[in-house]
Amino acid sequence: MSAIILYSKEIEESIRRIERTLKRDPTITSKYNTRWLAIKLLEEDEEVISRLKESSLFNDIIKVSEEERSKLSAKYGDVEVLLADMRYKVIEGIVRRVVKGRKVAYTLSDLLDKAILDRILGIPIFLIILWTMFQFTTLVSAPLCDLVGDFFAWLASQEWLHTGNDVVDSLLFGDYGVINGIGTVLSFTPLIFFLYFALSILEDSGYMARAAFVMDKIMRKLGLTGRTIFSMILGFGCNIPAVYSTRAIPYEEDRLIAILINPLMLCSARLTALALLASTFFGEMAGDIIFSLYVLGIFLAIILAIIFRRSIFGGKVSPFILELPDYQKPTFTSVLLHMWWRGSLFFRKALIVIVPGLLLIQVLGSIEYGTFTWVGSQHIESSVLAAIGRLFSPIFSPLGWDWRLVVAAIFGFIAKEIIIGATAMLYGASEEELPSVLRGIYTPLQAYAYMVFILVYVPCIVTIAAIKHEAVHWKWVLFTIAYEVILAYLLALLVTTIGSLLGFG
Amino acid sequence: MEFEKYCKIWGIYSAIIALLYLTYGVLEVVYGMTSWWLPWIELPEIRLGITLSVPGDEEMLNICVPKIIADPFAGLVLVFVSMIFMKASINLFRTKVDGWSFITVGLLLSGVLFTLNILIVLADGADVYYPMLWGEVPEEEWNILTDEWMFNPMMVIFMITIPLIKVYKEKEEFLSKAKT
Repeated sequence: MSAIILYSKEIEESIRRIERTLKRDPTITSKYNTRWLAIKLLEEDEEVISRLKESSLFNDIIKVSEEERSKLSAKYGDVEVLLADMRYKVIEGIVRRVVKGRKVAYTLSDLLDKAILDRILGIPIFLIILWTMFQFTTLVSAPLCDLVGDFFAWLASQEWLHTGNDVVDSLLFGDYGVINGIGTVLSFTPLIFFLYFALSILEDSGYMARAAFVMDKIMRKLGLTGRTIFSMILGFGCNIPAVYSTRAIPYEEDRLIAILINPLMLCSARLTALALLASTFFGEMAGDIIFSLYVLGIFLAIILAIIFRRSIFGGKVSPFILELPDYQKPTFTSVLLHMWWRGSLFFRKALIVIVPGLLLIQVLGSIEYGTFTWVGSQHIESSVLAAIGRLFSPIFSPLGWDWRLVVAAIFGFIAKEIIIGATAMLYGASEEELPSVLRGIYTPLQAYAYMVFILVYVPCIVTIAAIKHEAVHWKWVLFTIAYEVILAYLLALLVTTIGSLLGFG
Repeated sequence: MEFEKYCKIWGIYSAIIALLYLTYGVLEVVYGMTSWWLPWIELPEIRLGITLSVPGDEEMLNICVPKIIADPFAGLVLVFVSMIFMKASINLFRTKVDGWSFITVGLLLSGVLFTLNILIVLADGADVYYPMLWGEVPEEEWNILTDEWMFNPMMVIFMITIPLIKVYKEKEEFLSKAKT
């Protein structure tokens, strides 16, 4: 006994029309069930389409099925999802009739998913959660960030810690010194912990998997798979684990695209620099400015994914299969543990990469260019560091940045957390003084252009290593660096030009 | 009470909340966009709410509750929340179980936004007063009533959503009587 699933009237009409075309070719009817073929064509099944290529009516079949598919998708959205949904309804009906003695029970997760995975409102809900997370991270952590910054400023001013050796004391405790630099960097520790706290809640509650599901429909249209959203959201924390997480993407081309666009996600390291600039130049609007940069990062990632898909990789996005876990109430202990594990990486990175990086800047800033003798950081204008900055300055002069900002960005290649510490050293300001110093030199427009540049330009050295490891070939590493530097410069120039034309200069 | 009538009453209530979120959301988007990106356009001050005044203290005078903040993103968030309550309302009118789902998610998000606002206000206060930990005098004054985030629509409208907890508690009733 055989039975068929009857779809809605409109779908059945579409199936019949495609079937009529298929039946004109006897080689097809002799091999396949035409109704099954018609449904598969509506679902855009790659395998079926490739098998039909042998048919002399291939072009007609594709034309008719595309017409029917676009007719249905204009009214109902994704046709594949629509057909799957209808099959599930049939299954549900059968279960209801054959399973006696109990109702088809909805779990709490099923009920919540009716709203959270809603075809129209799923994405707005995702955006609300994203906005809340960023406001929580930037605004609520502010007093703790200030507290840590003040502590290091106090530490640097303690005479009893000084060694009496001028060179060592200026390196460690001077206004340009390492302690002030580290203080500036570590003052963002609360911000990073708050970000990881929020991300842990989203992961532990089971929402992160839903976010991937909700975004899949859009992502597929844009040439990405829904799974990419995992690595993209992880990229908000740190690009390094995010690049490694792309291993979960089964198809090589999808995976390479996910790796190439990941550095565009605003990671917590860049957030340290951007948060300070945003609060310096935009005050209470800082949270929204940061949010706009997150949105810009996502937007650029999507645009580039489309370009990469069409120009370099080609082909279609692989299918998306994901099991949604039940919602869980996150426990405070597990959220704190997750936050600590990830946040403590920042401390380790500070010791291994950031402190040596800051010391290197301090040393280069204290050696006179030409004579190569130690003159101290008070003569930073004639230092090797200044010479490096001035070498690149002409390129950045249309953007209105002086050599100090250029040097800070260059050293951000070591680790993005260095940018603010380096900026403080280069302008001879403590963490407390830096905002007023910067406000006296730059306009909010120039600052925003710099923030856009920092968002997009090269990932840090450890992320580069991760890209090399995952993408295997050096060509992808070099390609990532090249496209990001060019894009960052062009975007900063665009912000400056359009902003000036609109009168924000 | 008959279940259909029960759903309709809460459907109307949900629609009112949706309308409130929408009104304040649109205003925040419009005022936010003009103050951020079109500063040459001067919009008249809108005070859509109850005026809170405390005689004798000028700082506390003329606080409009809810207070519209010029922030397009915050406004957009309010508009999105309004869409959730509107969809809840539509489903409640159709006595569908989805009505319960959207009310629950709407309540959850309203609560999260309310909590976020409270935390921001407390953080603003802590940011001013933390130097007192080592005996310093705060550099600026801060008043909880005049804080920028205090009394903003996310905070105030949440109070009005609280009665919807009654709908949330009727999960079993919805599962047995509403359409699936």
